[in-house]
Amino acid sequence: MPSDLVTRWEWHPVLAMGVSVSALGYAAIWWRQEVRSRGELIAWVGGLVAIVIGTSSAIDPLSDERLSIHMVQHELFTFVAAPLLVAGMRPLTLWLLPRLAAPLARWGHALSRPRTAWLIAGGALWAWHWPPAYDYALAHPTVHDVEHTTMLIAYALYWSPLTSFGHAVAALRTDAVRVVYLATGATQSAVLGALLAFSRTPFYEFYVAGPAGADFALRDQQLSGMIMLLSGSVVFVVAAVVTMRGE
Amino acid sequence: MTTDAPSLNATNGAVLRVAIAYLVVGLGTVAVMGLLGVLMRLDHAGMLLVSPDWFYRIMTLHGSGMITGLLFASFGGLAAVISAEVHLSSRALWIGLVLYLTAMMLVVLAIVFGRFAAGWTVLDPLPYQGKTWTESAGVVAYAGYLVTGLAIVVVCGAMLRGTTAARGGLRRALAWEVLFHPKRPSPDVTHPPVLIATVTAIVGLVMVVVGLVYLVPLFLEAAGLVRHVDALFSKNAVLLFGHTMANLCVYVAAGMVYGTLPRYAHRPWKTTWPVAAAWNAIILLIFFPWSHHLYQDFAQPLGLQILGNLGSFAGGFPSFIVTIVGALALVYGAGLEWSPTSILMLLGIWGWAFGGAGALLDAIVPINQVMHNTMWVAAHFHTYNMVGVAAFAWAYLYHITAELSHARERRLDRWAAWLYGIGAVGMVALLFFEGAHSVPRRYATHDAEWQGYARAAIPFVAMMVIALGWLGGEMLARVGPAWRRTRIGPL
Repeated sequence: MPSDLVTRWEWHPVLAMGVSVSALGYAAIWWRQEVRSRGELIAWVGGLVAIVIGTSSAIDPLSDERLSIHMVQHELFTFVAAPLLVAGMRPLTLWLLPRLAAPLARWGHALSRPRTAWLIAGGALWAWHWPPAYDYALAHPTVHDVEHTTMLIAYALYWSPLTSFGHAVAALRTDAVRVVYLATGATQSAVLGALLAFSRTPFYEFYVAGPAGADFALRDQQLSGMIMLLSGSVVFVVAAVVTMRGE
Repeated sequence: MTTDAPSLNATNGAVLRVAIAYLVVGLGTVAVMGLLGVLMRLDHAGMLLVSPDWFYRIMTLHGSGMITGLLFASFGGLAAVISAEVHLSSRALWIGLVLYLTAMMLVVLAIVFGRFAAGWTVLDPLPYQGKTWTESAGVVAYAGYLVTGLAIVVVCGAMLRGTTAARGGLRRALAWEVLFHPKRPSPDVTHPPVLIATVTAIVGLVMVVVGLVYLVPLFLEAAGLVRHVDALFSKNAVLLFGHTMANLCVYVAAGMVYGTLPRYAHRPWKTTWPVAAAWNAIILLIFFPWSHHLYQDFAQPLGLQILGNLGSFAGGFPSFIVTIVGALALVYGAGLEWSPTSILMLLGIWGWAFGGAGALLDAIVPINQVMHNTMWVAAHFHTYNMVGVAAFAWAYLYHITAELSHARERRLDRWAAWLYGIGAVGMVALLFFEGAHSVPRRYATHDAEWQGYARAAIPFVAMMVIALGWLGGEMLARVGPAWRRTRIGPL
């Protein structure tokens, strides 16, 4: 199976087209910028690559067999793709804002306000990991896609107040509020990770009923909790290193 | 040059803000961990039934949370003190705070959800194989300790970089011109708080390397790459790291005293030859006393046992002779301005001296054979941490918030400081009595004949809770105005 992770790729036409259009469209807009930041271009492309790895590599089919692989997939969307896309978003936002209808722009602003974004990300995280919702999504591919899309959008909103894209300054203006925002955000995912890692019973019926059985499902759930707890902590520390300004 | 320059005349409000954040987060943690300590005391008194499972989880959280809370509160205070003359990176300090919070989160989750309760004991099969917790909980707790080490590296790195840049090199930051050329007085000598920041930053960085020496094998063991880590090696390494960290707290906190007490005594605290010699000596001497915790380990080499005994006494000299006697000489006949800050700082000096004396007694081999596994050890470290380091940090938070917010002192504040002193001294005195009567430490359940000491301690604990409740409320009310004041510009 480890070799599968490298060699097994499945290309979904709609996704491939979406990623291609997104990459080419972004490149065109980026090229027209008066001040071009290579970092933003790399971040945007990196975010798209993370989405492609999460959806087209062996991670996607294996996530139906193992919760730990599914957790890696979620981490790719929420902790890698979402912050990278947000970090590269500025040229796109500057291009889009004058062209968007005013109500739509107002909605965008409202949803990316720190408290709102924090609640949306936390809500999406807990709601989708609620066992009945998680099992239902695993059993229904369309709902599963909706789950991943909402997680990606929710976490893109979460990371957005830490950047200055589209605004003169970031919504979270001081290091103190950034620390509070990051620490409380990290705690949410860490608590969920700890619940999964230290539970004595498996949470998700879909995996318990799988061919590997309940014992394996429990061990795999504990591993997935550790992945969430430890990698999430690393991501939030990296976010602090990147966003602290010494103000 | 003297040290009577006001510590808060900095234009660098950014450092003062992060310093306040360290003090509030660190002392907030200390307060919560103190309440957990009250639960353990009520259990010892037979007044509250705590299961052994929960007792050891609470003990693990209480111990690790207290030491790190005190250390980071003290780092914040020292950063504020030296910010008047040293440019510190507030960005690095904020990153250090995020690392500290992350570490705390990991340890708390491992204990609360993972039921981890091994304390800081790493002798095989601990920390991974407990009766109530899984290996994962041990890994998460020790990942938390690792992140604590990273936080210390970031903070100490920022301090060392700041002091050496401000003083034009390490030699001057360590006041070596005073040490090696005492007869050639220089008009520009490093002030004691800057010297202390340099010394403690070096110690902190070396200490973390020692921590890695035992953490890396432990993680290799968890990964299945190492079967067992040698027990004697582990115990030596964990105590060399942990004992040094506990001692480092008081040395960092002493920087706040050197920077603040002169303002209340209206006298300077100069970097004299003894001060420079003592603080330079601490860089080495702080690493020697750990071995007095291993006298009862028959496999420990004799040379290390002798080092433990001699090193404990040698390590005590600089603090006793220079800082404690120096502080008493500073305030003697000076018409000391009595305030909660000066009261708590003098209380802290007493706590440091008395707790240190308890440690020195425990470091004498024949006494150690009788006392080491009793509450005597808990008594000595509670004295120099709770009465010493915590009092210094509370004092400095009171000072900085009062100074920045221009708040007027209330008469009750001073009474609260005295009440804290009476409560704290009464509480630790009863711990010493318990130790002297051979009541064992680290027991979840106390026999009926032992419970009287803990019951007698309850009124003293109540005094501390009332005093800190009052003083904490006062300080919290001032934090907002103090924070805003740092944004106005030059103070």
